[in-house]
Amino acid sequence: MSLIDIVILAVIAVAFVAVCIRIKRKGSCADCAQGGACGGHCSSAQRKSCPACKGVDQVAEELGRGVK
Amino acid sequence: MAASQLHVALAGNPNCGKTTLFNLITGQNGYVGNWPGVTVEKKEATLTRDKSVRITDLPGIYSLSPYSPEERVSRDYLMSGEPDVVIQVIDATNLERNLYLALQVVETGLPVVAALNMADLVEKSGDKIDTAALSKSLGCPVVMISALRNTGVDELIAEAKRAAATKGNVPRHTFDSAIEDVLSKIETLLPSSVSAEKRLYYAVKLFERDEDAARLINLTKDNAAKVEQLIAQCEADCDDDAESIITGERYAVIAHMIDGCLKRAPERMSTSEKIDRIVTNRILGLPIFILVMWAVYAIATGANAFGTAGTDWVNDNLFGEGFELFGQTFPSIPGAIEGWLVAAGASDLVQSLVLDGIVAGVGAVLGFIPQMFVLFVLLSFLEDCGYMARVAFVMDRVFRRFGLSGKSFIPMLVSTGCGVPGVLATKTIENEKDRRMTVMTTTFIPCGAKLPIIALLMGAMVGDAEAAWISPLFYFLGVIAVIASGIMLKKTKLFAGRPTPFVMELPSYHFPSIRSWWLHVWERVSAYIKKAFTIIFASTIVVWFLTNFGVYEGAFGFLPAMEGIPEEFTDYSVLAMVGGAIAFIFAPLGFDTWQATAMSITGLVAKENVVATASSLLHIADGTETDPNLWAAFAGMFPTMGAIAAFGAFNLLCAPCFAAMGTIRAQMNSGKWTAIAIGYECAFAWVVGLMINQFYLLATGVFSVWTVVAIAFAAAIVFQLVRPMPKWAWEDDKVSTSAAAGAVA
Repeated sequence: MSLIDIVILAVIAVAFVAVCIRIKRKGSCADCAQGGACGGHCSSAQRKSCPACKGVDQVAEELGRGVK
Repeated sequence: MAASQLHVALAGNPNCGKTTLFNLITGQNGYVGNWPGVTVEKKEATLTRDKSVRITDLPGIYSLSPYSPEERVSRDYLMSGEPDVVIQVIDATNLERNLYLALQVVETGLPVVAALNMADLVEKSGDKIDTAALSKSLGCPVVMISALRNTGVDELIAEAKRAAATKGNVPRHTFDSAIEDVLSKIETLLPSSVSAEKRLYYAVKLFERDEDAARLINLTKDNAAKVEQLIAQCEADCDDDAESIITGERYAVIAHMIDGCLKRAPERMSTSEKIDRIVTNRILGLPIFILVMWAVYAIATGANAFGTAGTDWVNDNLFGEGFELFGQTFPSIPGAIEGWLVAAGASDLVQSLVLDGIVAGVGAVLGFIPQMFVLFVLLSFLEDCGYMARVAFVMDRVFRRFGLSGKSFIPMLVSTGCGVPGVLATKTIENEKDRRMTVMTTTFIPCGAKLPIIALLMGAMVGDAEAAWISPLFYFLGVIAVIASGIMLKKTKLFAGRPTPFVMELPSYHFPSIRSWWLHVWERVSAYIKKAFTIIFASTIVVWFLTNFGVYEGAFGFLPAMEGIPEEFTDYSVLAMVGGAIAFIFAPLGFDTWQATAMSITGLVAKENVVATASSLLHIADGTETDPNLWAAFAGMFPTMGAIAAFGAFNLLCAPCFAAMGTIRAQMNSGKWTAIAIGYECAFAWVVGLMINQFYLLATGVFSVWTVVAIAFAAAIVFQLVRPMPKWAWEDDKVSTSAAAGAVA
């Protein structure tokens, strides 16, 4: 693997992780500002008020219950 | 939040222009809909010109007696003690109805400024409003404004700041002397903890037997009994119930106010009324709606149409062969990136990841932007000009016939943009059964993310042929799915009951302001682009990894680099293993390949992923080399046209994306109901896909056991649709707002 391969893969990996963190913080939807429920500028503190994030967390919790 | 901040609340009836005003003075671009119930939660932002002023946009309400969750949100905030001043937005073209809430807000004792919005329309109609007279009788400053045209707004803000300084000094209107007498007696029974300026408000609320208000002020048992005695005496004297007495009194005050401040122009039929005679006509209303939506989708996604021409240019030039501009030849984006990677000496693995994975996947989604843009320009115009509000009215007539409520159509209108706010908009439906049913069916309406799927299907099914009717068909498939599901579910014990009454004011037709029109379009298009570079970007990397890595002859690794691997190496990939394991589910639908199954699975992350995954898989398999265009290559993945249509129907109707599923969970407030909703959507989508494929095969002379199953399903659906509504289905159901309130919280 050449140096350029490592550089490109590193850039893609950083971008991938950044996107995953963003999704974790803000959810995967980008346009729920339309509903008036989200200002479109979610911070991690506001995450609790995002119905999509809250619901996804609840589903994950329910599906993960009892899973070791 | 700074302690010195001035808190201004925007209150008013639904659809009176609060959010338009909020956007104008705060620079926000919150969604503005031309129908009631768009704002279901309060929104906050600071004033653009003065960061010390914090504005709160409240959901539109008709009164301070909460019957629905959004009314509770608004009243709770107004009575929380947080707002320093309330800007009561009043639709000046409909003074009488809007003043009802204004009177109640004045009664709260909060400093109030009345903003008579839509001044431009009042002027156009020839009516004259004496703001000084209205101000005197209402007991608060009154300012004429037009939030749409940005007139009078600076004066309004200045008045609000002045009013906030005069805290607690609010003059008030008076009711009939007998009622005033009872109210003043109730005021004396209130605990001393209730401040002087709020005593009238609580006296009126106790008179209306408002349980929330009684609980809030901790009225002693003894005093509560005395209050009840006073109310009962008054009811006997007036021969009416307390709530009706106060309502009557308020309207009497309003009638007196209107006499003194409004000079109406001679009655004549307005342009809106003339248009409505045709557009909302009992017979013509529905065909006109079908025609309009057919035109919208045909212009945006039809073969050789406006939007399609743009998408073709992007796909053929920007992501295809390259293009010429001002006599200069430019390479395509993949071509330029490939040239750069080869020159830099990048390995095959990296080239494959970048070109076949990221560029192919994200590029396929971005390629549909021209069609999205045209669709959203047209839909936003229909929303802003007032037509879509009429559609809700027209659809109410259709829905009611089948025991459904027109209220259920509002979330569906919102869902044409995104299913998440669509599901949230169901909060305005008071009846729990209707609300659950609407949550279950609202995501059948194709959202923006599903448009690329429709465009892909359209291209795959008809190519460049003139068949503009195909793409609108997929939109109407969603509408029909909603209506059919509604009818069928309403006849089950789970959802039976009378439909919720639906009352809405129809706004006047107007040409939308370019700013708000553009904001609508940009908001939706930018969200689409944002998703392409976030969730779709991440998904394409995962899909590329799952497609290029796998097990061949007992060894796991990068498949294209493995020795002796066949040309169709993707058949050994992880994705092929996963997709192949569950592909049998879709065999009766005509698409039991692991590729089609993989597209459906990735579509659950975000619906755009169906197209991104298709593009990625076709690039990896060199599909685009033999078929120069994605559409033809995609069509080649299916055995028949019926299978393509079945694939489309399944993906458009099955469970929505994770974000929308999360919202369904939050809105249902129950894991069981979420499972029912998602399960129903998937089962319904599968049955529709099955019927499409099997009936297509039947038409071409193929008959199998699945044909019998499809006929059995079709017969069951027809039976459930046409059988009379069971008698018990019309039994009155207890209207519950508690679950909705829970969902709001």
